[in-house]
Amino acid sequence: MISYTLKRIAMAVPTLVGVSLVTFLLLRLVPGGPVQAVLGVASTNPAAVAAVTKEMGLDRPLYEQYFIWLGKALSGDFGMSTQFRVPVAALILPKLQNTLILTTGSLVYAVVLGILIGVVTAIYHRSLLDRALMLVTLVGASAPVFWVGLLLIYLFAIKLNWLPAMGMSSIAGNSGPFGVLRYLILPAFANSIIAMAVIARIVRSSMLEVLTQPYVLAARARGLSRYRQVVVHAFRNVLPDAINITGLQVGFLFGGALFVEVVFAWPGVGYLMYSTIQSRDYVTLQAAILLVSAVFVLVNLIADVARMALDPREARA
Amino acid sequence: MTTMLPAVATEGMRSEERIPLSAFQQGRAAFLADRMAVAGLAILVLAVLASIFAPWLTSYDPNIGDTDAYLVPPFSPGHIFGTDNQGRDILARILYGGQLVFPEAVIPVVVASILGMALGLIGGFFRGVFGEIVMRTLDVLFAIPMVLLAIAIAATLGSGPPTVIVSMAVVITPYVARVVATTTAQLRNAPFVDAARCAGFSRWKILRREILPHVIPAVVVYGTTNMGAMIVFAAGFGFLGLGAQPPTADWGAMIAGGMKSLASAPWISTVPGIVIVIVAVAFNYVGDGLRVALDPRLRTRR
Repeated sequence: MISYTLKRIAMAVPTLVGVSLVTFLLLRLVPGGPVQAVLGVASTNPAAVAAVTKEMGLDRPLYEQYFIWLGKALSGDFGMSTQFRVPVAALILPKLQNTLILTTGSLVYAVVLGILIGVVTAIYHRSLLDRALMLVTLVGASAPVFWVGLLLIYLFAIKLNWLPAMGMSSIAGNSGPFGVLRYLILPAFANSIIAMAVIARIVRSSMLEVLTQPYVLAARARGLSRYRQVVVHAFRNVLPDAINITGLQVGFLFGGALFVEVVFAWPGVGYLMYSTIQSRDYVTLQAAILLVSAVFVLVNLIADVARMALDPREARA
Repeated sequence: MTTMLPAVATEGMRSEERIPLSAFQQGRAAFLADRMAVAGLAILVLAVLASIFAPWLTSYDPNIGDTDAYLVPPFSPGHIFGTDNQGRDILARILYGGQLVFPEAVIPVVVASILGMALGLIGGFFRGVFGEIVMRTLDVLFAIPMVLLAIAIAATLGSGPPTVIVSMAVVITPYVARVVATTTAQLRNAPFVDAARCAGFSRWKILRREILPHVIPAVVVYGTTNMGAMIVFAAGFGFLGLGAQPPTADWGAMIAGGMKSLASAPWISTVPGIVIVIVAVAFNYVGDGLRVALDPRLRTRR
């Protein structure tokens, strides 16, 4: 277990190096090159160009530029935002926190409802309920998140006036951490639907397979209640599959968060990225991608270790 | 596709009763037996034809509004889907928007299928350094959330449909490659591949003659099943303003355009979304139908 965890951490390192390379190269795609990207649009001042060229090592080979950039990034220096004229790190970290709140909320919805739907449809396999729920999840998973978000706003904020349509209250503010929940309910649900549908499908097929296994049959033969057969005996062996797919879905939750944040004006990294598109703030965009990807790598690491802890068969393999 | 099933598939049926069907005929029969797949295909054919023939189907200009017809609600005479806040007919914008959205979703999938197939065959078949490099590079691309990477690429390259196509193709390719690599790795030691080796086939010939016929159906099914998601993906670029620039009609941009008048004119955002969902669900059912039609094992189980 410990050796697997260490091995898995060691595997994450080259991945992170690769991610940093891709994000590093991203700035080289900018029309006009990295100098334009770093200085912003209106930069014809030769002194400023020379200063940036020297600072980023642009007069040196590409691999040296990479190490200069990486060294700074590792010490928390992601450069200056061309849009807000502040260090990117100070700008992004609070936003990253808000995005993590949103994705965590989505994850809770996706896991709880996804597993519930998956288990229920497996138990009532081929019933009307099974078909109806599978159709609903298919339609939900086929809908653009931003459109679902707008529908939720229209229904619950504009028509019913139950929940706020936009923004987020500060965790430290006078409404406290629970005040945030009111703002979280709609955007987190909108963002969770696709992941929920995917988890439901995987749990359903995994559960269907487990339910036919001899040990579940034995549990039934011993006269255990249906609840104990499914929840205590069968579900335990569905969990590794569920965790595996959930870990993979986190990436899509970060992607969806971008759209949901735009629709709900949620002050997260996605909303920030959206504003960088218009203002061409490539430095901030680069740091946002790097940090979100790093979080994603970490989440997958945790998911893999958790799956291993739950499934001794794989740990031995 | 006819190469994937040997003629012996009908073995067991008494030949005096039934004439053995070709693989294509069997697949077609399986597809046609799936009512949802047929319905999905019909919807898609209609939607694509309607987009192509938009100028004949509507007399409205998709980009120039009628100043006398702002915010006409749906089901009004002359504007079945209503008009938007510039007086433009929403049906016309949906039809013309399809001319943009369908290629934006299909071209990246085709490009990524070809690239991903090449990379996946290399990564799955060759165990050496080269294959290893390909697989590790793909792992890195998986570690970056797909949508964020695509949007970052599009944001740096500048907006427009070509950018959308390029960035989508880049981020989908690893996914196709993984499907191909998994299939290839499973097959590389299959008995029929060993037999081909014994027969002295070169590695290139084994890839082309023995492995590729199994990989192509997998890629076709994967591409079709995910095409719905790609329509949504392409609409996402439009929503963020990275697709076609205004006033050009684009389904995602139409949804974004209706955001400000959501309370007073909810149909502006709602209608394009419904169209996207219908098209995406149709693609899903067609993909499922193709999966059964192209896989002899699934086909006989039915």
